[in-house]
Formats: sequence, structure tokens, C-alpha cells
Amino acid sequence: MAIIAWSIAVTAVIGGYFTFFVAEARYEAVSSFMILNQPPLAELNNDHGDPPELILDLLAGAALANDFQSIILSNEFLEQVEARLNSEYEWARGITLEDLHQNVDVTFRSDTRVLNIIGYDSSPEHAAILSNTVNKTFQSFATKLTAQDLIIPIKEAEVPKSADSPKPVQYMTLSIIVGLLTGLILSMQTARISLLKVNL
Amino acid sequence: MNLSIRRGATLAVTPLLIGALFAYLLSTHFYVYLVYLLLGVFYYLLVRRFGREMSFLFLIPIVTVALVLVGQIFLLDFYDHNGLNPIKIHPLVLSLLVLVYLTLLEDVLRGKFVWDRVAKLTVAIFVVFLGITLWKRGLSGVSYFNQNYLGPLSFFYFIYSQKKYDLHKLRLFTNVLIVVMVLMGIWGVVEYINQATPLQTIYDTETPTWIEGSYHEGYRIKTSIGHPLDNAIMFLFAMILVQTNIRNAYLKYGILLLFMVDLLASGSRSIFLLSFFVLLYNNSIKETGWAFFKKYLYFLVPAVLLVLGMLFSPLGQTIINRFNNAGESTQARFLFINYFLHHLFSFQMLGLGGATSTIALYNSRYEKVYLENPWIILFFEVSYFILLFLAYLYVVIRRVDFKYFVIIMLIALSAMNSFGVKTIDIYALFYLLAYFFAHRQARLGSKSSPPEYERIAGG
Repeated sequence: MAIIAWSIAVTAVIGGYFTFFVAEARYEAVSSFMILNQPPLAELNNDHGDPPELILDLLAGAALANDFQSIILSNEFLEQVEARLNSEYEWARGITLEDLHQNVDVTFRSDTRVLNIIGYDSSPEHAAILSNTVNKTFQSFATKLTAQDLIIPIKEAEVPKSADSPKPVQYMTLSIIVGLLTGLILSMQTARISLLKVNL
Repeated sequence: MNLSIRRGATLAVTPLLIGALFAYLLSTHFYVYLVYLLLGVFYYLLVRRFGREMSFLFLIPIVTVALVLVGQIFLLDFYDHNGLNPIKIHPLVLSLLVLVYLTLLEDVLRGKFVWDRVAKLTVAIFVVFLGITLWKRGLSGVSYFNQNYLGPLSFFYFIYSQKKYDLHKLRLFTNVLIVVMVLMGIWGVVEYINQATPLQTIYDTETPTWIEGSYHEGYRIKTSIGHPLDNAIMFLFAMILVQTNIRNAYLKYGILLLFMVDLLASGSRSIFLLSFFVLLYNNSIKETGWAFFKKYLYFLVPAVLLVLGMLFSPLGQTIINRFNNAGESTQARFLFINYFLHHLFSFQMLGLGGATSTIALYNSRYEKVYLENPWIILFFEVSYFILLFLAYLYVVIRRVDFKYFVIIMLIALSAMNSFGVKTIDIYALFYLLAYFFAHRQARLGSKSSPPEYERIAGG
């Protein structure tokens, strides 16, 4: 029991020290837009006057979501974001393409056409600006690329109120579990060695 | 307990080192892995203390928790939605692998490891399947390899490499799984009656395509196992364990009946039909005449009648509807088989996971056809190297007890995409293979007959 208690105490103290005194806060801000792949009115009906198959429309939407996700995370697009941030914000002057790759992510739920642009930063305001800048830059980028208005803005990123990491409850719980497992392993190993000695 | 200074220092310093390592990992995305690596070491010490029979306990959470729930329960999300599992490995499979390979290392150091046809085929499958996957798909197929091949085959080898087993311990630890599955079975019945599960929100978020698949012809239970077909496989698997472990006829047929009700509620037609082959199995009652009737038919006949009765009750509504609409999925299966026959000599090697992401078949209504046969899927992924896996199964099945049940499980797995996608289903098969191998060894051991290995390295 003493070994287990010692292990839990040590890992909890180290984990707590890291969580509350060392770890840098990281904020996450999310903006989103929807992709519209409605064909021009003239193409809505085929030669027989039938409406297009819904399934084809959905498939095209899913493919577009995949394509747009790749484009947003590409160097070609992020260079435009980098230039825009550099020109508009003093604090973003030193930002690099590598920083953007680390601090921008794009997600979407399968079978939907809604893309979420996630910006990460140690400042909550900067995280929101990052997400919104990527979103706005992409709207104009996509319009130029496809010669159509395909993007419908859904939500602007708001300044997050709490940090995404560190997560004190999760980190401390895991620290205690790590300590418990370490203690159990050490005490079982010690018991095994004692048994071996007795047998010898 | 008297401790030497060296031992005391080790006990004092080790938590400091582990704590420092964990704190360092907290600044990365890899910190949860440490928990499961330590759990694997803990498994290893438990197995050393209580015997390899205990390892069957470690498979219980793997076969009863859906892959989509893994992240919610064990934090390390199998699909890496929370960014904490870039390797996309099942956390408990990771712990299992630590147990297996620490044991293997110990066996190698002692010069006791088994190196026979099963071991060679295992290594060949690992090298070839992983090689093709890395070559064709890069790292993206490795998760599939880990989940469907590395984990189960390693576990089987772990059980296979020990010569003697204690039948009492084996039954004790596998009975725990039966108890868990009985609770799951009760959950399934309650869920079917309520037509709802508290986990629905998570299932909807993680896998929206299930909604249509599950509700089209009536409610299909999901429990914590996930997809209704996975539920069906697990309840069939539990029925097999009940048949091999439980002797008391009242208890046996009572539990079998419960699991058959769950099979009805899962809406899986083929597995429901297969379950009769498990229900009708009789190994323990050898009497003839009236004694046979009293001990076997006395329980079996009412059980069969009850199941058939329930088939036409509200409990069987989903499956009856699905029997009536069998045409669509049958057509889909034929479409895939037809595609397979046209590509029999194409020698495609798409790598593990490549078939489902590359091959897209559509029926006449432009609806996507799911690839529903794991053998054909594997054929497109590793081409004729599939023969290695078939040879492995042939060699292994020859060495286990209850071959009849293994064949039933193989047929059940062939009725859906099962190990053609990332799954928990294949663990049911390998649990049975490992258990029936250990059962055979225990049986032979009790008759003082040594196991027949072709060659034991260093032995």
C-alpha cells in the first residue's frame, strides 16, 4: 500500500505542477461554412425535364467537402492566409506557414457539407481571428477557383472563454491513474522478488 | 518486508521517472498512451501471477464495447477524433500487445518460444499484410492491420505458446464473459422494448449512416456493442461459450433463449438461422431413449418452440420485416460477387483498408453498395496472399477443440463485412480459437498426453 500511495502522490504532484504552473494555455475557436453545390438554374433539369438525383447531389457535396478540406490545409492557400494576417495584424507579423499548419485544422462530419475551421492560439482573441481569417480568405478563394458562389457562411468564430488545454481534471485524473498503475506494478514486482527469495 | 538499499531506491525513484515522463508527454498528443502501456505491464504481471488463462478476461472490454464508443470510455479514441490517438490503435489492444510481446520476450530469453507452422504462418501474415499495406497505402492502413490482424493473431500465439492449461481456471475466466454477455442480453431486450438506447446520441454523432440501416425495417438493438450485426455476432459467440461451459440444462437453455431473443432483436437473419445450429448442439448428454428425452429434448423442444413463437411476436417484428425485404441486400451481395468474379485474375493489391475506400459499386438506383464479404474484401486487399490467412486458419482449426463451433463462427463472419473493415468481430473468432486450443491442451494434459509441437526452439 505504501508503494502505491507513494507512486500516486509523486505522479499527482508532478502532473499537477505541469498542469498548473508549466503548461501554456491553448485556446480553440471554431467558425464554419456550408458548401452549396447547386448547379446553375439552366442545368437543374436534364433533357427529359427530370430533376437531378438527390443521391448524386449528396455525393458531389461529400466530394467537395473532402476537396475543400485538402485545399484549406494546402501551402498554396495558407500562403494567402499568411499574407493577409501579416498585412492586417501587428501581432501576426512573425507568423509562418509552419505555424499555420500547426494552428489551423478543418473538420466536417461525414455525410454533411458543413466545414469547421478551427484556429488554435495561446491568446483567445488570436485564435478567433485566425479561424475567421481562414474562413473569409477561403470564401473569396473558392469563388475565384470555381467561378460560383459556393460558400454559405454559417458561424463566425467567437473569442473562447476557456482554454482548450491544459485540461486540469483530465490531466490530474490521468496522473493519479498513472501513479496507481506504477504503484501496482512495483508492488507486484516486489512481491514476486520476495517470493523468489523465499523459494530459493 | 526487508528491502535492500538498491531496491528501496528503485521503488522511490521509479514513480519520479514515470511521473516526469508523463508530465513531458502532457505537452504532446501522446500522453494517454502511457496509461495503456502501463496497463499492459500490469496485465503481464497479473498473467505471471495467475496464469495465462486470466488473459481471456482482458478481451471482455474489447468484444463488448463498440469501436465508436472507445474514445468516450477509454479516452484514446479509436478514430482519433479527439486528437489523442494518432496511431489509431484500440487502447486495450495496445495493452494486450504489451502483455503478449513482454511474454514473448521472456520466452525468447529463456529459449522456450514455439517456432512451428503456426508461428511461421503468423510471422508470414504479419510481414506480407503489413508490407503490402505500407507499400500501397502508406501508414493509413496500419491501424486496420493492428486491429484486425496484429492484435488477434498475437493473442492466439500467446495462448498457443504455452503447453499446459488448467481447465477449471479456463472455465472460470470465460464464465465471466458469459455473465457480462447475460447483462448485455438483458440490456438488449430492454432496449428493444423501449426502442431506444441512451447511447443513441453518440452513435448518431459518430456514425450517421447507421440511422437508416437500423431503422429502415424496425428497431435493431445496438447495446454497447454497436452495430446490430456486431451484436448478433457477439450473442452467437456467447451462445457458443454457453454450450461449451455450462452443464446445468436449466441455466444453459435459459441463457441460450435470452441470447436468441437478442438475435431476433438485432434483426440479423443469417446469424439468427445459424444460431439454431448452436442451440441444437449436444455434447454433454450421452444417454439414449427416455433419459435422452428427459435431459435433452425436454429442454430443447420448448426452447425451439419459444424462439419460433417469439419470431411471430412483437419481438420478432424487425427480423420478419427484414426477411420480407431480403431481396435488396441479396442483390447487393450478388453485385459484389459478380465484381469479384470479373477481377479474379486482376492481381490487385490495394492494401488493408484499400478495398472499402477504393472500390465503389452502385446499384441500378445509384445507391452505394456496401462490400459485404470479408473474404472478397481481403482478396482485393492482399490478392492471392489471402491463401496465407486461409492456410493459417486451416492449421489452427486442426489444433483446437469444438471445430464445429469455429466453423459456425466463420460462416457467421462471412455473412457480413466483419473483418473486411476495422472491427471487434474478429476478436470473437480468435477468442474461440484460443479458448478451444487451451481447452484441448487442458484436456490432453489431464490425460497426461504432451502437446504435439513440431519443434520447440531451444526445447
